[in-house]
Amino acid sequence: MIVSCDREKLNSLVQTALRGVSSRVTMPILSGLLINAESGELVASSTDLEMSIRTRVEASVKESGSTVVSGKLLGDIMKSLPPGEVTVESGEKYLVVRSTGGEYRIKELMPEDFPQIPVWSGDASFKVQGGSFISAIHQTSRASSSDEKRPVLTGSLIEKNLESSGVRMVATDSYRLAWKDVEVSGSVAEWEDCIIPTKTLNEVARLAGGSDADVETKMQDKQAMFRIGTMVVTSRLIEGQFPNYKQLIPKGEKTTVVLAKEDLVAVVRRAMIFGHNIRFGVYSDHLRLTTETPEVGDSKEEIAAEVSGEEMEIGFNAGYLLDGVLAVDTEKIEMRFDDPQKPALIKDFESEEFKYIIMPVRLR
Amino acid sequence: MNATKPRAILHIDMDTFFCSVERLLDPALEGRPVIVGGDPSQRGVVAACSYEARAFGVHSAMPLARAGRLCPQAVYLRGDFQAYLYYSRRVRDILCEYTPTIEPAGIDEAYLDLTGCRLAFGEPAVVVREIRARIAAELGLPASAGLSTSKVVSKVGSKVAKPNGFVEVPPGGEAGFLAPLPVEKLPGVGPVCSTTLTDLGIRTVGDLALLPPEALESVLGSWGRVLSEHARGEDRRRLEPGRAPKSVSRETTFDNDTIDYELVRCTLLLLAEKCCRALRADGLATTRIAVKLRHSDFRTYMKFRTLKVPTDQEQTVFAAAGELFEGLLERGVRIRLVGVALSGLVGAGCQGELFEGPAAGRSLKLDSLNESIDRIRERFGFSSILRGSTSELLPDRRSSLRDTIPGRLHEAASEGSAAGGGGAAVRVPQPATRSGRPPRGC
Repeated sequence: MIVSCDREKLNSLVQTALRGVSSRVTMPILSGLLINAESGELVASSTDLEMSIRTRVEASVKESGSTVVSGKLLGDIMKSLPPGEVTVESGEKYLVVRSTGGEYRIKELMPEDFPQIPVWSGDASFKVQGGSFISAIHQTSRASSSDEKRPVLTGSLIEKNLESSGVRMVATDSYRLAWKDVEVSGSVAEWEDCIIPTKTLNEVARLAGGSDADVETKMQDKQAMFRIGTMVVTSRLIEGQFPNYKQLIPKGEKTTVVLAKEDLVAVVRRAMIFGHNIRFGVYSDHLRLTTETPEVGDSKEEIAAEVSGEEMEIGFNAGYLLDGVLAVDTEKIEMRFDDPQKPALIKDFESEEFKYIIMPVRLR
Repeated sequence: MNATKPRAILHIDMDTFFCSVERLLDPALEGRPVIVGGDPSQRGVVAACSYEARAFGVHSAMPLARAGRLCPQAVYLRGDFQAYLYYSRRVRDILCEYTPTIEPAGIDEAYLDLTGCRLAFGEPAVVVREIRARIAAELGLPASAGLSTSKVVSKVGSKVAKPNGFVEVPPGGEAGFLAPLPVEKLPGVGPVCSTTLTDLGIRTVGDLALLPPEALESVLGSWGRVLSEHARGEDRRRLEPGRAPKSVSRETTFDNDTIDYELVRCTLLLLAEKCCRALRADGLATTRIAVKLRHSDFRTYMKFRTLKVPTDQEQTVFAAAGELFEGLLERGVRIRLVGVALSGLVGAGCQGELFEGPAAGRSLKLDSLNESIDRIRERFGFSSILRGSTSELLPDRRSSLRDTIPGRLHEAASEGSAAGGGGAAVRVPQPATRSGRPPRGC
């Protein structure tokens, strides 16, 4: 393999692929990047067996071929090379990187040991505007669990929403649940509802973050694939039954509260300094948030709000409350309550696209 | 603090507290050597001993077997921590009437700042006499007291005053009072430090005060400088009243090193229960769980886990502790000690769960279950209600557990360091069978 390419493009290719290399590899080969050169393209791939990234760049290929080398080493040298043309040549044992005046050799690993990286084939099932896909991930992913004992909750459900012919992204750790309806172009009819590791979705959001490109999505060989420009992220699915969340939606028959999101964020942040759990009091025209840590200190703050319905007091884990309030996408935030022991709802004002359901804390 | 009047710091120290309480509960012990800690045939250490036992050379933290050889005629008791706690709280109730500035220094001692109470109660020395008289009259317990301008001098004062006495060191007289005393009387001077000082020809606190602080620092490090100040009666430390506990810990040494890992697991559950009960009593929850394991060769390991949702439920703590234990376990190696420590303490609350299913509402149900058990135990004692898997562990039911050691001997036994250890061994309480038991709290 002999390829040359501009250092800038080559570096960006390698850094993108490196996102797929786990910092804690289970097999040495997984610390490597698979580099392929053929028909005018240089392709870099990586995988941690849960997710793989395959990305490509135009290059002048003098001799096609493939190799696997340490991702970290290749990434480090690419980052430090001066601007200009870089040539990459694989020999029998070493990949040689040449830049103006410099020559760097990286020991090759066995390309045949590298896991098969899925290649996108055919058309996408549906396409989502990049910005709205990213914000859907940001709005929901924090509700996901990191507890490996309940694998289903470490993923986000992506299910088709036939009513709106869009998809809904849902995440929960059993203490709170977030969902977001996303508009798509194309048909969702063929989409199979599935649970995708939230870690992977966060990576997709990060990779899509730099560009305005649409995110194309499809299901292939029981794996979910996301294509953003020249990058393809493939993810394994999480087996299992996602909890039936629809029954949880609080009706908010008892009390509804509307107030400015930024104001509430500030009050919650201050309250958190004094305790993990917030006593959240709803009164005729204001809220009162109190927290305390015995023998350490306490806080009390009132904030004006439009309240309809009964007055009540409910307890929340401060962190979960803040996550929900921050995820709201409108200037005003709407909260609905049924009972201090039952889930409460936080949502965008006058919109049904985003909902955050939070289970209260029973305060003592 | 009063700017014109010098500080008036009282150190009050209950005399042979555990033994005094035992005598209160069983007057037949009066005048006899009493040793609290357990049976001399067991592996424990002396938690407390009466003056009669001390006459035979017995002292606290001494192995029980040794105490048994020195003083075989003593009455050996397992100890009843709940009873000690009950009386400790009654003492605290009396102290609280005189000043809000109280720094508890253990289950049986405390510092009080009496500087501000002259107007309300009169001169500090008068107040001290009144406090001691009330403790004696209302509770029937002897207490020694030291009164001076600083913590260290008052602490030494109460030590010198024992048994059942009161020493007042007037402002300006601190150095003079300390000078003739042997250096071991200063808090923090243990056997090792004492030997180092003796090697330097220092025998009294006065010798120590004459040494330049730099010289002492070069021998003992930064502690040397502090010690030098203390030797001259200088100690500006303020009292730290109501210091919130940073951690709650309990640990247990097995009677015999064991490879019965099921026994260890059950013990972990018992320890988790005790820790969580202490948490709930203080309205706290933990976010960091640690398990400590000591093998028979004294290799000691700790493993931690951080929780996202704070808990005060032993069920959750035990689930994590069990897994941490699995991670520490070396199969085939005998275990000497196991401990549970909870830190990252925050205000309590019970986080509910969203989904229906077997686990639905479990957390809330457990919450009320634990609350009910706490109430029962508050009235009838810890062992009045036990889980099946831990019922065999308590000393009156099974002899293989030596003791349950609070992280430190302290009010509510909850303000221990995570490393735990403590010094003295205290028995877990037995069911209330003896007469003369206080009606509540034990």
